[in-house]
Amino acid sequence: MGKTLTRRDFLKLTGLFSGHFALSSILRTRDPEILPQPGKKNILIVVFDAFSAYHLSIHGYARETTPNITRLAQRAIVYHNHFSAGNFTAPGTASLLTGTLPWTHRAIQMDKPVVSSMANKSIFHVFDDYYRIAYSHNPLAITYLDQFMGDLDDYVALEDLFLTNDGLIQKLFHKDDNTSSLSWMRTIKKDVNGGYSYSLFMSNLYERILSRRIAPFRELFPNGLPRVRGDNYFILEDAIDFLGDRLIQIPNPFLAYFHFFPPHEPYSAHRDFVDYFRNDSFQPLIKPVDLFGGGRRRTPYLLAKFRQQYDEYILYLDREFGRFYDQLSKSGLLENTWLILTSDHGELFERAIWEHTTPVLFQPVVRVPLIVFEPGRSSRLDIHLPTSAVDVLPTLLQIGGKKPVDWTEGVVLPPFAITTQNTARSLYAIEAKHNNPSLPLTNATIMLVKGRYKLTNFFGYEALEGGERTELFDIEHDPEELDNLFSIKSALAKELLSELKATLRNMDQP
Amino acid sequence: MCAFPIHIWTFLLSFADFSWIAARTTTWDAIGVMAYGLLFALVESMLIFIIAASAGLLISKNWKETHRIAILSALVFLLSCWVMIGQAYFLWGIPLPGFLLRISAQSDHPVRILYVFTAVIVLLTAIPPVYLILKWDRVHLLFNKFIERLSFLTVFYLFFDALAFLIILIRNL
Repeated sequence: MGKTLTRRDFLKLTGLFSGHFALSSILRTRDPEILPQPGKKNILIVVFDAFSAYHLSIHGYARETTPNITRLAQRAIVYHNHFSAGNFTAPGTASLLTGTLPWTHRAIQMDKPVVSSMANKSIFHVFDDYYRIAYSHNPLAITYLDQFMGDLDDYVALEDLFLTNDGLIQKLFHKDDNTSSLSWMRTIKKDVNGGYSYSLFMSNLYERILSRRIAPFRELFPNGLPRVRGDNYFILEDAIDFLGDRLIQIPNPFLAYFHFFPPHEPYSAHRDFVDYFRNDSFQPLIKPVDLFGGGRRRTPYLLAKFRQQYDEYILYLDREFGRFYDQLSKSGLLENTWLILTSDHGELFERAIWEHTTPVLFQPVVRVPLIVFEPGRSSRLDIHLPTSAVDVLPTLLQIGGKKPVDWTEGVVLPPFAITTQNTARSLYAIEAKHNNPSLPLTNATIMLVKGRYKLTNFFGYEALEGGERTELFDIEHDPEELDNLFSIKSALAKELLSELKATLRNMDQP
Repeated sequence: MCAFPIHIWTFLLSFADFSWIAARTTTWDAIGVMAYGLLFALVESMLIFIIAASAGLLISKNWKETHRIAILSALVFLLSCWVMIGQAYFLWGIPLPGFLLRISAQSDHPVRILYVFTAVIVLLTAIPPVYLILKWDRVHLLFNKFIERLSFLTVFYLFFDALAFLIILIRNL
């Protein structure tokens, strides 16, 4: 391959690597044998991992990170205050798929499945008369797809859309694939973003072998190829093209769940977007260092650098989402498909905190996009009411004409709800990864959003030395969460804290 | 001798990494990561042993067996030291010496310059111990005693490897 790789060459190559290059162009048009059944529309859920609403221009971010999504959303319903149920993939995804909060489904640790009593309470189970297809780049989300596999008709394997992968390790240690895979990465990879080279000799050798395999793509991704856990390299275009093609072939109505890894760290934007925001006038707000912040890589300079790379990665996925949308639109599929764009959690670059796996639940880490592309819709509708990831399942049941289920903790979202929604409804997000899922929570962060106020309660952390930490913010007037009102509005804070603790006592019964 | 540097490196790095992993997962998962690391170290030790033993066939049979073992062990030990330095350079982000960067930058083949420089350095450090082992019995005896003591340490590695294997078994039940 020459040094100047054209887009056509690139797409050809990605097609080859996907292992699915045999797809004929004939299949790009819908098979007449699988025309939609009248009255039932398809449902397509697209999740971008660690996709913070705070960083999206469609939600008011100063950098224009989502020009395509903003353009397409002119015919969609945009939820501006949508909250994930947790701050990392496990609780975030499990809540989205089950419509329940982490204290119910108990997927609170990195690779733990939902509690067995929830195994038949997923979005895939309730849409049993649909053709159900799922794919995830993220192995943590795979935990749930594996668990719900009995309710899936078509399960695209993780490694199908990777250029290289550590599938052998995952197969050898299938029951402990997340930890074995993480250890493999820390052992074998020499990579500042995840590898730690426990291995003295093999890491050097492995690096050489791998670098040859990904060499054709390297110049397209100056910050490194998009990857999961070190050496599971993938190309977003590849996944988009493959899954777009697959949707055109499968029977209707379908329920599809596609969980793409970008813009999750490591931030690997395509070269078209690298340094796009480098010399812009954007200045992030300087916020006080948090108790859970710190570390040598959390200086304001580095956080600004990581933020820039993250924003550029979003710009790249925005282009790919636009391409995906156009691909489906041209095939005619969107005339009969509800497209839901959302995320499992956000990302944070402030208060000396980077990423999303710390105890904090500040807005950038829990506020995620939710955009519903309704078939036939011609105008944009903006919803500012706080909503939750657990609302997605009951809403889809409603729009799919199905009976509501009694186990979900969410409600039907406006404008689909038959009754007017309670504006003072309580929404929760939970971070509890250091707890045993089968025991009550002793070390956690619980967030309660009620109307314009957000209360966050931290308890059980060593850094708190036996005490608790509680913060109250007016997220309507202080969306950056700079003024803690806990002492100023003490009566309200106590009332909300009391509600939070009572709900926790009631719900946290594994 | 092969197991010593590989296990020491894995222990050092995985202990240094333990809190990072535990903060992002759980203590039990961090123990799991370490256990898999030790299992990989065991496999790596065996691979390096096979390579070293095969390389031993290239050494003249005219030399005594104890000399050959000492020379091979010294070379593995030396190579390990250099690889550790190389890894440390990378992990701690230490830049290459300025003069080397300047020479490389002026060359049409900077990577080749770096390879040649590395090969020369490694060879220069390999010659003295081999020479001393062959020529001075005192050095030879001292080195063999050193190897014996390190071999005794292998019992401890094996204990930790067995423990790691047990942890992995439990995690995969």
